[in-house]
Amino acid sequence: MKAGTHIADKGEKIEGFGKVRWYRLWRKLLPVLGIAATLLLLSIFTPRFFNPWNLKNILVQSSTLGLMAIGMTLVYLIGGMDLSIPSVMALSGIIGALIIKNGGHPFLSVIASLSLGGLVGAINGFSVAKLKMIPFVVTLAMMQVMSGASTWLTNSVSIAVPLQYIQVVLFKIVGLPLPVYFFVLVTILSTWFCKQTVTGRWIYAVGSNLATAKVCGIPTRKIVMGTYMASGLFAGLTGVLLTARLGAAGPLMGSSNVILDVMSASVVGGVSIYGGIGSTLGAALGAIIITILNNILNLMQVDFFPAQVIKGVIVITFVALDSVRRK
Amino acid sequence: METPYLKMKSVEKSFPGVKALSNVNVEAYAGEALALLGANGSGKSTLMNILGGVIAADSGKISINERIASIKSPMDAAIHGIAFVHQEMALLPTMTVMENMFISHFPLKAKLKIDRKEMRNQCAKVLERLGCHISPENIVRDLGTGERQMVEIGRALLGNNKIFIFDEPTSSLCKQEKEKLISVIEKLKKDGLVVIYITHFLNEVFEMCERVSVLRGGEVVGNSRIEDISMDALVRMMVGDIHIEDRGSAREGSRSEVILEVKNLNRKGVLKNIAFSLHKGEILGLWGLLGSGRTEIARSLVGLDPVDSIALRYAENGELVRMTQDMARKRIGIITEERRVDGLFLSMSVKRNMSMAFLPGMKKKNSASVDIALEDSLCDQFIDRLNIKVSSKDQTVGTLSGGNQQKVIIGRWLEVNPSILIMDEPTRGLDVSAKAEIARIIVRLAEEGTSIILISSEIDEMMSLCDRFLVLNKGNLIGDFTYGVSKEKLVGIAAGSESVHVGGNGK
Amino acid sequence: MRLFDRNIDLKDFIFKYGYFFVVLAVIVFFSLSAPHFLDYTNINSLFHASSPMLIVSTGMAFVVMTGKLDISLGSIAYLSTCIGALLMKDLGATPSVAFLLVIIMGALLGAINGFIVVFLRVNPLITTLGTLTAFRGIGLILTQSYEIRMPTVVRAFGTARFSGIFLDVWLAIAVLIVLHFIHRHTVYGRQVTALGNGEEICKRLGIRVESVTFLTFILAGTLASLGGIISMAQIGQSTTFLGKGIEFTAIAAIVLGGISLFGGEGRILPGVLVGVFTLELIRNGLNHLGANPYLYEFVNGGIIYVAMSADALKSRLRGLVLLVSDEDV
Repeated sequence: MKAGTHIADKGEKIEGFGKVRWYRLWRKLLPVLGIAATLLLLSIFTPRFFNPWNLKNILVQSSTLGLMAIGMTLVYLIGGMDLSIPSVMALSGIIGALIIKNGGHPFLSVIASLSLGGLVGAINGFSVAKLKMIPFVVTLAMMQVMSGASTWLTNSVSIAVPLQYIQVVLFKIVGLPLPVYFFVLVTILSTWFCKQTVTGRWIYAVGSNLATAKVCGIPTRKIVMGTYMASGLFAGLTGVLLTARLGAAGPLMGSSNVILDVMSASVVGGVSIYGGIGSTLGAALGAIIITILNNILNLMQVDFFPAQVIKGVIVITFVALDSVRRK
Repeated sequence: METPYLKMKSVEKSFPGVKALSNVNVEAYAGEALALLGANGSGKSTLMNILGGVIAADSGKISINERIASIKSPMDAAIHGIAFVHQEMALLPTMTVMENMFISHFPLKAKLKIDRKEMRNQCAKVLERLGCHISPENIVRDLGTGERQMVEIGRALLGNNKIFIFDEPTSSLCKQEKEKLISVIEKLKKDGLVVIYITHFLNEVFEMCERVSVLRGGEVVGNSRIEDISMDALVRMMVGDIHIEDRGSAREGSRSEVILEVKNLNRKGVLKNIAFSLHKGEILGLWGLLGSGRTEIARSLVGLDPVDSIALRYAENGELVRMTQDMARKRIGIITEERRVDGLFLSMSVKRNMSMAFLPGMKKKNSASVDIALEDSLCDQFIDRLNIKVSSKDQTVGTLSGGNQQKVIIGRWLEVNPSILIMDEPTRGLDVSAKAEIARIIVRLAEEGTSIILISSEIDEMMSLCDRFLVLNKGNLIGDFTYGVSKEKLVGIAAGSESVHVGGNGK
Repeated sequence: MRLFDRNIDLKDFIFKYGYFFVVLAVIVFFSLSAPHFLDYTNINSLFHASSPMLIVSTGMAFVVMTGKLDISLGSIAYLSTCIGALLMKDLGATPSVAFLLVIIMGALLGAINGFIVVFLRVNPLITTLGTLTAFRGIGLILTQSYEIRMPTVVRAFGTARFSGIFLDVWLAIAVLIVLHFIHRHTVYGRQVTALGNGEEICKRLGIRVESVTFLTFILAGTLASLGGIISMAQIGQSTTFLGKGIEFTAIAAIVLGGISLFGGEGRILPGVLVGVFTLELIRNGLNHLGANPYLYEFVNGGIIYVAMSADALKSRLRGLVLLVSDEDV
């Protein structure tokens, strides 16, 4: 019998094979179809969309959302969840801004922001991996702690950062500021990492079946800790970039609509919240789609709150479809 | 002559590729316990699942109290008074004994409020009837296994059930608890109820059952009254003709040098002072009944289960050196008991499943990324060598048949090429040809120098493959036999027939 | 018949009654460090402030005991009360009619959650995260973010007393007693706790898992809207941040009250009462100490974290693995 020939065996599900193949293709095409659909809508309703300034704006906004979505995706891939991302992002930005305000070197400020992100990520990861706490609740608690700390430290007032700092962080190459390049770089690197490296494969394994991963000798605890730390680091990085873009850091940076956007970006990008399926590339594209969606809603002058409703429904729909296909 | 209370007549059941039951006739009488004996795969679980309404028979009749009974769901079974006390007990650990018993039919006062007093009374009555000294208010979580079983039985009694099926009830009980269970069953019999007792322990069969039915390969090979049959005859019925597909002459395994030495393996309540050696190229069989600790030993060796103590030594350069957990991971592979639970990544491709344990060894030179070409070629190699039927390497593993799935898992470990491979029930659920193929693979591996620890519940398989047998009972190592030991001896020892407990409440 | 077969070790005792000691410690700490803490007026206003919380937390407790979580309760409170407010303002409905409709609305919104979780099989965390946003969004749209003043009757209810104790406190206590009864003495209540032990086991035992879950979401929604009404009556108007974040405080309160987030454990009384009371005590105490009000959220998060790790520790030591839906890592 030649290797690779398909022979109908007793009990082998041939029909099942076709269905699953189609499903995987669909998953990969989803974001692309999404972009195509939205672009179509745009050209009909809002010609203003194709204004070059608007397009540049979208890229810039996608960068910060995208970085957070990539971090969130890594955690989703192992089957977990990180609700603390926006609040960590906000607090990182605030800490960074405070350092600069009090005369600290900008370099120190950036390191501090990243460290905070990494620290919170480590706490989250440790709680989930070693203490076996529920990811949702742990990151929820962290979210509150970070959010509370943010309002407390700033007394609800934003802290401005000096112009020179902004100019450095938002340094423009070919008309696009650094954050966009960071976004692209991180997307490429993370996609390569997940798909090509050993650790990346291990991440998918842990999300697909934790027990089997252990049997295969994969260091599951390290993987879980690592992804939560990465998520925290990305949140910290986003804090730095967003602060520069807004010119100030404040607790509102991490308000509740941000987490919804981050989740929508990942879910629309084909990431499954149950783990093991999806890619950071998809999340990046999803972030762009969500940003475009926000932009269109804005241009169409849809109020903030109806927009929220729409996004809430989108998330539920995508996850529902995901659940249905899994069973 | 009495008529049987329960009659199962001409029951047939097939699963894709496997005939589970053919023309099975079983009778059980009121006030008696019927022992149902048979090896794994003999069909006894299938038969009981049909009686319990979990699955439907292809054909055949069930009559209860001389009336035909149609049982299509567990609810039907309950209506006909059939109570199935499973091995995995369906209990709510955070709730009280009485709540557990009444959870689906609370006694109500004025249609709304639960009548706690009534509940407590009825519960206490049942517990008394069982001779059980726990209180209705005890929380189930705080109870021992034996007591939990009493709660399950109590629940079954409350439902006014007439037929009680016990599935391997004593495998996790201590001596006292076992004696209590026996007295409970005697009480049930005295009350005129029907007891069907599924077990591997032959001494229990002789202690408390009146009749016995033996199943083998989906057929009933014997129905007898206990008083008419001897232990040896029973063992022979279970074991069948000595028909071993011999491995032939290549059984040198146990004469080569020691490659692994295990000492002082202890885990409270599970394993006691396990010590043994494994030789190079040997196929060592771990033999014993359910709950004897075989899988636990296997998992402890690779660090998947916690242990209280363990001392491993591994042969390196002709000497035995102490082995750490990390070393163990690299040198010992394990094919687990339930492939769908922790053996496979069901949504991933065959290729990915196969490479998962060997990824660090597949890295490209000076890079962190995986060498995909190497991954592909290794996968092709093993698909060929193991004769795995797939349409492509990228086929999702979840869509393969059981036999092919098992081969993928074997392929995974072949890629790692460990010197020791543990295989836990490698042919479970596979049809005859797949079983034979895997047996051939196991033999070839041993010939090529891999040492194998084999766990299987099928005596024929063990007899035909193993160089040596370690017999386990309740976490204790009770025997070490080389190839040449008789089938009856192995089955007998594990089933306890060699050390029958006579006296006390024995017959 | 013996009640306890085994010695009650220290461990078990701490597990069962640990939270009482926490309350005691809190009371002692604050009464020593802050003046006027144990004054009658203070305690009275403490209870007054926590009555909405008591009711909402009870609803949350039911959901948690089935092994699930619902973080949309604050938004349900908001949306349903908005509708009531608008009915009174724009359609001239009487307060009693509006009251009824608000409760019905709460049940309906809870039913939506239940439908998505039970029949569409979406993870309850995602579901309620989505409805949290959607419901609040709809409320904000309907009211155009304006605040709506309550008619005098309603405001009077919010501040009325009966033999010295606020009316809404009486109401909250009544609700707690009724729900405690439902939990301990009705089939539904017992099956709620059963569900927290594992859905698979319950199915095998013949419990109608889907019905019980669905009903629980409806119950939580109804109680959320009731709590919202009280809150609105107390403030005197419908504000845009009514109920915002109350779910998280409820979770903290519940865990403090000895109700495990893994499900299957805990009692409404004294659990919810003690939990909410303790939390409010902490808040009140911090206030008396002159602490920055922005610290509350921080402290709340910290409490959830500590309580959750104690919870997880308990589970691990007991060898129980009761997980919330699909979260397995």
